[in-house]
Amino acid sequence: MTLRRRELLACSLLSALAPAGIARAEPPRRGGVLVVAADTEPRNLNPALVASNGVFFVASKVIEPLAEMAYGQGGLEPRLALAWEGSPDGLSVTFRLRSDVRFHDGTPFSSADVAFCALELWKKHQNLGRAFFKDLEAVDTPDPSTAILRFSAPTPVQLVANALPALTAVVPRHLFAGTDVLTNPHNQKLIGTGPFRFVEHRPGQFYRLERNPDYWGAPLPWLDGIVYRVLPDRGAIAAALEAGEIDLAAFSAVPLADLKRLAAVPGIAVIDKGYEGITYQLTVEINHRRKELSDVRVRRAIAHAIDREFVVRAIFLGWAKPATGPVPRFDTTFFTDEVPSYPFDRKRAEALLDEAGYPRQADGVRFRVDLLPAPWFEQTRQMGEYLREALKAIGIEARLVIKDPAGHQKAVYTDHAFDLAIGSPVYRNDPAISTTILYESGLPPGVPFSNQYGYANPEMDAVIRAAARALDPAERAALYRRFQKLAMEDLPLIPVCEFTFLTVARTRVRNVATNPRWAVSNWADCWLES
Amino acid sequence: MSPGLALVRRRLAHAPLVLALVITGCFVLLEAAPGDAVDAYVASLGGDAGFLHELRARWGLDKTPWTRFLLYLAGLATGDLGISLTFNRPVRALLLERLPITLLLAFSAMAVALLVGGILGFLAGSRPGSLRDRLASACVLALNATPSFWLGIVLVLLFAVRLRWLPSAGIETIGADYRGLARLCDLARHMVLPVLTLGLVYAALYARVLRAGMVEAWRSDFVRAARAKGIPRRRLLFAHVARNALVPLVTVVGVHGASMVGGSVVVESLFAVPGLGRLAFEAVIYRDPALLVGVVLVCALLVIILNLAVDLLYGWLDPRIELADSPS
Amino acid sequence: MSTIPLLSVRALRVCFAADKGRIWALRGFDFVLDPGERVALVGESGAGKSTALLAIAGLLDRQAQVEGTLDFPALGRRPIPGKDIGFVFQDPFSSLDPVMDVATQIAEPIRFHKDVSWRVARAQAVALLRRVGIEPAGARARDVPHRFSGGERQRIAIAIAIAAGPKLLLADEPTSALDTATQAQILDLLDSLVRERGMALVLVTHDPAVAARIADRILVLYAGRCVEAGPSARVLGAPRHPYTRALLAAALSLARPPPRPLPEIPGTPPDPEAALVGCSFAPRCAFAQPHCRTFSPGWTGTPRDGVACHLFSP
Ligand SMILES: Nc1ncnc2c1ncn2[C@@H]1O[C@H](COP(=O)(O)OP(=O)(O)O)[C@@H](O)[C@H]1O
Ligand SMILES: [Mg+2]
Repeated sequence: MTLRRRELLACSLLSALAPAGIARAEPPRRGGVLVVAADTEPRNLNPALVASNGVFFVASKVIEPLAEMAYGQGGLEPRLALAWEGSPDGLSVTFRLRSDVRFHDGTPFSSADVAFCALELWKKHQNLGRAFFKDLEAVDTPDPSTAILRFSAPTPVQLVANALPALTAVVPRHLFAGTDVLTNPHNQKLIGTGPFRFVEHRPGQFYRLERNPDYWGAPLPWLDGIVYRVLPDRGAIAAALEAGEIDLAAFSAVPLADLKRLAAVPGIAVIDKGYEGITYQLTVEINHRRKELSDVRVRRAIAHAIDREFVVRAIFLGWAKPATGPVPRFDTTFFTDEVPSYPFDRKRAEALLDEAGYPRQADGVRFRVDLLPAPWFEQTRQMGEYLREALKAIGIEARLVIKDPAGHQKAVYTDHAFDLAIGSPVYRNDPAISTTILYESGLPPGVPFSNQYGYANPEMDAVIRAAARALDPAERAALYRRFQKLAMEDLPLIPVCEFTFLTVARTRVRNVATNPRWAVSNWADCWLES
Repeated sequence: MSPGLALVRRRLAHAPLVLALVITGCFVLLEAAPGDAVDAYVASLGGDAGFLHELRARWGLDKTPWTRFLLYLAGLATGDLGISLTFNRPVRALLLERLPITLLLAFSAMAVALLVGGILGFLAGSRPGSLRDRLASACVLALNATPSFWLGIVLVLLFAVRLRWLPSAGIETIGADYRGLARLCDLARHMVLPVLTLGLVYAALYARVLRAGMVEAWRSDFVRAARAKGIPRRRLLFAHVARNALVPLVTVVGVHGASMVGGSVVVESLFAVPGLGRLAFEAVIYRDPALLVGVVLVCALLVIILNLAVDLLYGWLDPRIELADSPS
Repeated sequence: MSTIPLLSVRALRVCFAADKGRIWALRGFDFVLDPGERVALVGESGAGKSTALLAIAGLLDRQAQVEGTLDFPALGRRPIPGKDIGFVFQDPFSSLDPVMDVATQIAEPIRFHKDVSWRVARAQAVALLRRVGIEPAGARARDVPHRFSGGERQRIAIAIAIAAGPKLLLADEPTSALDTATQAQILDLLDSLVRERGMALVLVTHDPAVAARIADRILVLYAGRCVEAGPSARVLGAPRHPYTRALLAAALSLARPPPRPLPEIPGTPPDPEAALVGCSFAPRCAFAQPHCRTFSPGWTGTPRDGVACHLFSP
C-alpha cells in the first residue's frame, strides 16, 4: 500500500508539473460521450441560485461563472469575464466581458445578464451570495461588455476575484426577469453559455448534456456530450467503472477501501488532484457554552490527544494531510505554518487537564461529553469513533451521538445540543468566503457551517473585520496570517487534517484535473482517447 | 353475493381507516424526527440565516405542524398529494413515474422467487431425505445465509464486471433511444440482476416453506390413503403433496410480498433502480412529509390489494377456509 | 379345500428400526383368505393389526423390514393397490385430501386403473357417491371433504376404496372414529357392498359384536401373532385361548351400561422391542404353566380354525 501510494503521488506530481494534455504530446481527439457517476440530483440545479458542489458538478458544464480557478500564478482564468479591476477606494469592480458569447437559446450574452444575476439572483437568493454580496448596491452597464459592480462599503478586489469561480454563474436575464426565480423551470432545464447544452434529466436515472457547437471557446469542447448516471450506491459505482459502463467517478464516489482494487485494474487510474480549490478540513467542533470546554487548556489538551498522522493513515488511508490551521497549504497566498501546533502528546494533554482543574475522578474519568460526528462523510463518522478512544485515553468519556443530516444540522447549528462535534468545513479559495464565519461571533442560531460554538473573542472579530475591508492584498494576507495564528492559539476549533476528493477515471479520459476545481469546472478541454 | 365479493367489500370498507392511520403515522414520524426539510437541505449547502428563514416561509415550514397537517388533509380531500420539497415536484407525478418500475421489479422478483423457490422446494420436498433433497436444501441454506446486498454485489461482479453479459445498474441504455420491442429487451436486460437479487433471497424462503409443507404432506394420512389408491407417483406428488404444500406457501408469499412491493432500498440503490423504496428512504432523510405520506399511501394501497388477492387465492387453494369468516 | 385362496400369508414378520434396536410389529403372522370371505381381525391396540393390513396392501413405509411370504394365488400376480385391493382407513377426518373435491378423489382410482377419461371416471364417481348414500350426489360432488360429516366422509372413503372394483377390501377400524349410530350405518354399508360385489373383506375391529355381525371368520392377534382363528360363531361362542376369553369378557362388559368399572385384561402387552421367549401371553395368563414361559406354543387345529396355546396342544 505504501508503495502504491508513493507511486501514485509520483504520478500526480508529474502531471502537476505538466498538464496531462501536454505531457503526452498527442492532439486532442474530438468526439465521444463521457459517462460519469452522479450520486445526487439537486432539487434546484441552477448554480446562480445554489452554489454547491452537487449543483456545480452537472451545471458547471452548461452555465459558466465569470472566471474559473487555475493552477499557477494568479490562480484564475477568464471565463465570461476577460479582465477585472478594482477601484482604489474599493467601492467598485469593473469587469470586461466577452462580447462573442451566446446563450444556448441563441440570445447574446451581455452585461445586462451579469447585472441581473448579481442583483436578483446572487445577492437576493444564492446561499453563499446573500452574505457575500450584501454590500453590493448596483451594477452599472455602460456597454454590453462592461459591468461595474458597486459596493456600499470597501470590498477588496482580491476577495471578489477569489469568489468568482463559485459565486458568479450567469443565466440569461430574459428567461428569469419578471418571474418567480426560485420556481422558474429553467432552474432544471438549464440554459447557459457553457461548452455543453442541457438535453434532459430522467429523474433517478441520468442527466444528459450535448456538445454546444456554438461555444465561444471553439474548437472546444472536444466531447460530443456528457452523461451523468445516477448511481446512489458507492459499491455500484466501483462496479460500473470496472465494467466499463462509466468512465469517471469524481468526489471520492468510490469508497477508499475499493481504491486499491480499482487502481490495480488496467485502464483505471486514481487521481488525487483537481480539488485543491475545495479543500475540506476535518475539524473538531467545540461547544464553548460547556464550562470545561470554554477553558483553552482543555481544548489544547484535546488537540494534544489527537494523533493526526494516525488519522491520516487509518481513516484516510493516506489520502489527506495533517492540518496546521484553518487555511490549507494549497492556498499559498494566505497559508502560514508559523502558528502554535499541538503535537500528539498524551502526557502533555493530561497535565493540561490537571492544570485546568479537571483531575481524574475515582472512576478514572475527568468529565463526560456528547460527541456528534457529522454524517457528511464516512471519514467524519470514523473520526468520531477515533476521537472517542483518543479522549478516553486522557480521561474524557465521550458518548457518540449519531444523527442523520437534518438531525445533525439541527442539533449542532440550531439547538447547540452538543459538546463536541466532528465537522468538515470547506475552504473555498479565500478565508472570507466560508472560513472566517466559523470564528466570528454574533451570528444568529440556525446558520449552518458557521460559528454556532458560542465562541466570542473580540480580538478575533477585529482581525476578521479588518481583513474583510483590507484593500491591499499584502495587508489582507498579513491579517489572515494573524487570523490563523490566533485561531491556533485560542483553538476554538481543532483542525485535524485537510483532505480533498479523489477522481477515479479510465485512462482514456484525458485532461482530467486540469484546474483546482476541476470536477466542478466546465470540462471543455476534456477528451476521450478512441 | 359470493364470499369472495363479500371479502372484497369488507376489506375496502376497512381501507380508509388503514390509510388514515398511515397518513397520521407518517406525519408524526417526521415531526418527531429532529430537524426539518430546510435543515436537511442546507446541510449540503450552507447559507445565511435569512436564506433559511425565506426557505422555511416558502416551503410552509413556518406554520405549526398541526396547520400543515390540516392543510395537507385539505389538499388530499381534493385529490392533491402535495409537492415534494426534496424534488420540487408534485408528489403525484413522482409516484406515477416510479410506480411502474417498482411494480415491475416487485412482481418480476416475486415470479423469480416463486419459480426458483418453487423448483428448489419441490425438488427437495418431492423426496425428503434423498440426495436431491440434500443438494437442493444446501442451495437454499446458502441462499438464505446471503444478505441481498452481498448477493447483488456478487452477481454484478460476475455478470457485469467479469462476463459483461449484463449492465451493472440502471434501467435502460442511456441515449440508445430504443423503441418498441428493442426497448422492452433493453429494459429486461437491465432488470435481470436486480430482479434476481431481490428474488433469490425470497426464493430461499419460499423453498423452505414449500419443502416443509411437502414433508408434512408426505407424512399425512391422506397421502398414504392416496397411495392406497395406486395412482401414479407423479399424480400423487403434484395433485396431493405439492398441492397441499401450496397453502402455507401462499400465506408466506402474502406476508412477504407486501414488503417486496414496498420496495427494497438496498436493491434499488445498488442497481440504481428509481423505485418507491429509495423514494421513501429519501423522504425520511430529507424530512419530506408529503412525499413520505404519498409513498407510504401507495404502498399501503398495494399491500391492501395484495393481501386481498392472497386471501382470495387462499380461499381457492384451501377450501377449508371460509372467506366470509376469515379475520381481516 | 377346493377353492384357491385369494390371499395366503405365511410367517410374516415386520419390524421397524427404532432408536435402539427394532420394534416388532408382526412376529410370524399366518393367514389364509378365500375369495369373497369376510374376516375380522381383533386384538388390543399395538397387536399389529394395522401393520398386517398395510403389509397385505403393500403400503408399509420404506423403512419397514418385511420377512415371510405374501401370496395372492387367486390373482396369479402381485396385487396393485387400488385396483386389486381397496383400503379404508380409520380416521375419515385425515384420510381424505382436504383441498380436493370428493368426486375427483373417487375418480382417481377409476381414471388410473380402468383406463377411462377423467370425464367418464368422474361420472362413475358421482354414481358411486350416490351408491354410498351421499345425496344429492351430483351437487355435492364438487365439494371438498370439510363440507361433509364424519360418517359421510367415511362413506366417501369407502367409495374411493371400491371405486376400481377390487377383489379385496381392507378396512382398518373404519368406524372407531364415529359415533355409535353412524357406526351401524357404515357397517351396514360395508356389509351390503361386500355382498353385492363379492369382495373379500378384512376388517380390523375392537368390537366382537362388529365382528360377529360382519365376519364369517375371526382372527385374534396378540403381540404380532395370530393366537386364535375360527368361524365367528365358534370363536365368540366357544373361545379357547385365554387371551380371546379375556378380550371377549372385556368387550362384553363394555357393552353393558355404566357405571361398572371396566374390567380390563390385567397386565400389559409385551414390549414390542423385546425378543419373545415362550408364549407371548404367558406373563398375563391366569392358566400359565412354567413351560408356557419357555416354549412357544404351536398351532393346534386347521389353518382356518385353531389356536396357539399349550392348553390345547395335543
Ligand atoms: N411406522 C412405524 N414405525 C415404528 N413403529 C411402528 C410403525 N407402525 C407401527 N409400529 C409399531 O408396531 C406395533 C404394531 O402397530 P399397529 O400395527 O399399528 O397395531 P394395531 O393396529 O394393532 O394397534 C406397535 O408397537 C407400533 O408402535
Ligand atoms: Mg391400528
